[in-house]
Amino acid sequence: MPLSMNRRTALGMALAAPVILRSSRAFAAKELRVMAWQGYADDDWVKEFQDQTGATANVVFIGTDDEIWAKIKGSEGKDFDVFAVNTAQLQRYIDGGLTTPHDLAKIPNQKNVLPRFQDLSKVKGIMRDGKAHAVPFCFDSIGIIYDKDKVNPPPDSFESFWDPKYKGKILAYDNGEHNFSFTALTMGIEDPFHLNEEQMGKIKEKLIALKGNVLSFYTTPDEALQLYKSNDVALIWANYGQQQVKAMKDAGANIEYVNPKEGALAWLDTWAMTSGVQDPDLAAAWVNFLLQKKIGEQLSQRTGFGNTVVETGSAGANDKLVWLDFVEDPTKRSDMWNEIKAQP
Amino acid sequence: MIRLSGMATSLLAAITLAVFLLLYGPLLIPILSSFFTVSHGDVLWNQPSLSAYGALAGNGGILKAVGNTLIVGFSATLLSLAVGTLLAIHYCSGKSAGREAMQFAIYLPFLMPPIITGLALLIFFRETGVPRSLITVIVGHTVFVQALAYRTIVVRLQSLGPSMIEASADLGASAFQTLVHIILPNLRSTLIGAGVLSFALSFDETLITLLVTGTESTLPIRLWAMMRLGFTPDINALVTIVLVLTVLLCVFAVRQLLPEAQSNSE
Amino acid sequence: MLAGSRRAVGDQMIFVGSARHGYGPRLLALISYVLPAVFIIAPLASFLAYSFFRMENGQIVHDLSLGNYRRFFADAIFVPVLWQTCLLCLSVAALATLIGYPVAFLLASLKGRRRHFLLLMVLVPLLMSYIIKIYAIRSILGGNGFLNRFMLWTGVIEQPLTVFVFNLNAVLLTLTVLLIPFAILPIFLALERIPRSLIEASVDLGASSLQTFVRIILPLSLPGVITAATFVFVLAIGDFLTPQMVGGQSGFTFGRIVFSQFGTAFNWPFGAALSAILAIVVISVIALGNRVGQRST
Repeated sequence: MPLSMNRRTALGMALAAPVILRSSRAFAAKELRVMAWQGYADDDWVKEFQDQTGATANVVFIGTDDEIWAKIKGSEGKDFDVFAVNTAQLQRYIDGGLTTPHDLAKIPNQKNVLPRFQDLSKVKGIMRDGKAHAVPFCFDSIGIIYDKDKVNPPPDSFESFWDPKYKGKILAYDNGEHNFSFTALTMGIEDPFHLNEEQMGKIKEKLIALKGNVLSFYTTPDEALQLYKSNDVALIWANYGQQQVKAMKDAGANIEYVNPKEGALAWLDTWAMTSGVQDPDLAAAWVNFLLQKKIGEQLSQRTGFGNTVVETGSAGANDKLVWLDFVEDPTKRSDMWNEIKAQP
Repeated sequence: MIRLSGMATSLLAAITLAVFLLLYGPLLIPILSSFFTVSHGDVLWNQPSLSAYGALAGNGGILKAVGNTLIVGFSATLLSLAVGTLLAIHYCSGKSAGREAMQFAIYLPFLMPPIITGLALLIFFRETGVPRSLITVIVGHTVFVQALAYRTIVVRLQSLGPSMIEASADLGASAFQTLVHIILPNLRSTLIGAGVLSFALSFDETLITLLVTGTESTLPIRLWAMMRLGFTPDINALVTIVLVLTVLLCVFAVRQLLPEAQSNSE
Repeated sequence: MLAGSRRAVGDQMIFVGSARHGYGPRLLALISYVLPAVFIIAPLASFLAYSFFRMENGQIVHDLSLGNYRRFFADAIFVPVLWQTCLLCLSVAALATLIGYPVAFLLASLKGRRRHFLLLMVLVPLLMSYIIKIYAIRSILGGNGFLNRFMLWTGVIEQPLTVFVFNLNAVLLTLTVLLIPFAILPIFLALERIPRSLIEASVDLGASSLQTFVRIILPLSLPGVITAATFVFVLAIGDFLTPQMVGGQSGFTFGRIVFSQFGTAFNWPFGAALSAILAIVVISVIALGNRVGQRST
């Protein structure tokens, strides 16, 4: 299959298209069921993939981690072949037996990714019992966006979110797990993903204080942008990193992005196969297709996310990234976050 | 029919006008935006453009989703009206604990948070081996909007009173004849109203749809997923087209289906 | 649950006459019990059974217990949040019904095509995706939103108003705007059925317009009002997106707690229990409303 295309093979393909297409349509009449985030399966990519393989790729886009879990768990993995999920969330799917490990031999493009993603055993959360349950696709750090007119000097620490100067001018993110983790980093706790009772109690107090300083807790980047445009906002906890920076700068905002000195949490989205995958080879072909340089460049250019194939500005070499991990007790964090939000 | 004095009419008209402003005001933003260049989420008011409409025409994914939404909406609406009428007639035809239980069951999916109804149906379909598809979405939507259609019909049936139906039966009409010639004509405006409400609910349903769909997307699912990256300008164009088409459809429906002479006779 | 049930008691066996003819009624009864049993009771009951299970180490353990229900009352956050959510949704229902009534009244007083056209125009906004509408409303209400900018521009205010910026007022307003059409239609349908003869009789007997309204029209339209309030209340309480998107840090409602149990928290048993409790509360509120409605007829 002509999966990694440079200009010459593309040209060759165009000339010999009828012949090559026939021979490469190994998956003619097959269907691939994809669950993805917006921006991970653009129409032109899907069309190209279908032309190359002869298969039909049906994509359903989802809006939150919660929905992916409810849908995959509720159908016991039967409704989709391949889905996008971050490494922290991935753990519960593996625990629940809802994934099928990848055969990396069928994803040759994985050999050409950025150095830090090449050895999957060094990427936290991917491997279980020597098998790769997912393949990294894109990532971003979670730093601070600040308005250059309102915040001077630039912030270098998450502590700024508690600064009374910015009361009512802060946007934070509505997610208990992340908020406990980054607050733990701010308080100098070594492992923000495995907290003990006492630490959680202290963090809860600090988050209640944060709530008093915050204008709103947002959930999507566009929501944050809209909030920024129609309100007086100085600092944003940038859950979507560079994507948000790009969107805000495009909209003319005078802002800058910084990864704080405590270390920025970083998320990594991957492609995993479900336990109900109908054709693992076709699913692997999909993942391999998306790991092309061309796709990686387009992904970063269109969404602002860092991709795993081509270098981008998502994180500098000196930035301290703390990859998200499955936390000690997501239910407990969620409950405590609910309690914090319920505080009058 | 209610008759009003001039002053009361003016007062009510003023309130109605204000309500229309509330209802349509928010729609003005996407509609106006659709005729201008939108660059990175900002509307450039000095650059009129129809590019949003061009982009929409080229966006096969969204158009297909709209098509699915319409299929599901019409099917679920017709189903819930048909079933709702039957169930309502049964409820009104007597008094028993079974009928109360039936009514309770009909209301239940409407009272539950949508994620519960959605997950319950998904697990039910999985256990019974029904593959997820647009069909299961239609079933899911029918289950959800049924309560609303049923309730509206029951309220009307009860206000009809038994005399007309008894008279019909006394004249020797069969149950079917009574249904077609007596009950349905009296339910006309109710069925239209209940139909529109059911369709509207189905048109916007997100969570149940996502959980019980196979690989088909509907418009709300697409919009919901788009929140992560922000809405593209063609969505503004879509909103405008849907609004214009709906209004035209209403004008047509009122002109064709309600001749001036007949419209007061219900 | 049923507004007009008192009237129905008097009219028992509405279709008794037709029951003499053929299998229709028996078939009808069969359909009426089988459909809800298969498509509603079976899925929902088996799912709500989860509420008696519990979670252990990320897996659902199928031991029967009332632990989830006990936790609802034991933990300090659930009851107050549910109470606030109910208050909020009751306010939305009251507001939507109050605003919707005059509109429905005007519609019912109109004649012919104009009446039906206007009625449809009330319902058309329902077909505009509600996510889009929430976004639009938010850009109107924000601190630098259209409303504030407009009022600053006209000089009505000197400082941007904050009454509608990301608080419960904004949630109340937004939900009301979104749900008014659901209130107008049932009221209109009830008003439309009031026989002209009754109103004329009242006027003939020398009653004033106000008396006619209070004694005849209002009581007869009450089932419609209750239905309207019920629709709005239920739809408001099931909506977990609006409070979050326009409520800022105070936009935390019971619906969001329930939703979170099914996602990241992954506690389906507890989520099922919370849903069962929510359903019971909603049903009680509606039943109470019906009781009040019936007493005043």
